[in-house]
Amino acid sequence: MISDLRYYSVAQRGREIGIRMALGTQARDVRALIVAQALRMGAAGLAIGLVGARLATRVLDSLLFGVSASDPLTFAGVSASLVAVLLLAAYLPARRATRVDPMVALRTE
Amino acid sequence: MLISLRNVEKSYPHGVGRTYVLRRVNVDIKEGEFVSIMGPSGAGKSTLLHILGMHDSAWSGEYYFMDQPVHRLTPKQRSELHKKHIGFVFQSYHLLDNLTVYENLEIPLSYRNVSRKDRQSMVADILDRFQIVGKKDLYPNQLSGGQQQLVGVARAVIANPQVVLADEPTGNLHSAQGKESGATIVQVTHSEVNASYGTRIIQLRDGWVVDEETSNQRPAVHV
Repeated sequence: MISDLRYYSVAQRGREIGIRMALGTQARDVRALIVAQALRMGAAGLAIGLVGARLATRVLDSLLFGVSASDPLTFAGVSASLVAVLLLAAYLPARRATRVDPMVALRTE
Repeated sequence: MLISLRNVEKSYPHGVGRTYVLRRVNVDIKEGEFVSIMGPSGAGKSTLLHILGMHDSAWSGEYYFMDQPVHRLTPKQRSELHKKHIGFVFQSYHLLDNLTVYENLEIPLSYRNVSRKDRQSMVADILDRFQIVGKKDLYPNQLSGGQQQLVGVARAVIANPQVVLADEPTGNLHSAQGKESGATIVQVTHSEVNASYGTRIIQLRDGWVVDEETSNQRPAVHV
């Protein structure tokens, strides 16, 4: 679903990407732009999620037996997995975006 | 020679044959020239300009830009060459709607390894030169068509390119601000008045170059 959203978001920005490439942007710059924006959104989401999860541990602690609800390794592992998924979901549409023919993007105004 | 085209052709498959947009185009443009490409709609003017601007790579023939064989370069090398030496004024401005005037002007500099401090100074200078300082925080949809094109011209010349290519630039390219850049200019225009600012006219018809004339061969156009 994250990947679908990123594809949609990149498709919406076809004109912008075409103009940037027509102005001399290299493919790697476009990829970096798209991935950086996705990471910024992801970082904000992750921060909110971590705070929410930390608050939830107070309730969960009483329901768990033999496991800590605030296990740092679990928090770190889940965060790393989410970032990896986000990176992949952002990179694939970014790679496709750099194959945009500037002439096609400039014509579709 | 700054620009040299040899037998450049562009065509599309059409049924069993091909439809030609440009036919055996041979053009030489020297440094400092102000060339106008004229002709009726569908003559291939904008196509030729986009080939010169290296946006279009689906053509045959030879194109030398500053002695570099563009026809043999990879897309990345073409993009580098474009980035370093060419400024482009688009017919429909093509400003980015989600960026302010200031940010739009900054785009060509951000891809040229210009430091943040230098970028600020260059944008401030061009805003001043084009007398649009008061518009720097506005978005394109808050500007009139003329102001948008002025920003488009400013964006094309901000990085001091050797060549400015302009697709139907109306009067903005010929204003004092546009001329100050000292670049070689190639414009597509329907206007005799706009063409009169140039040094040479290339006439296109159905993709063929049918005539070339220098400014001293034409009667003066009174504005």
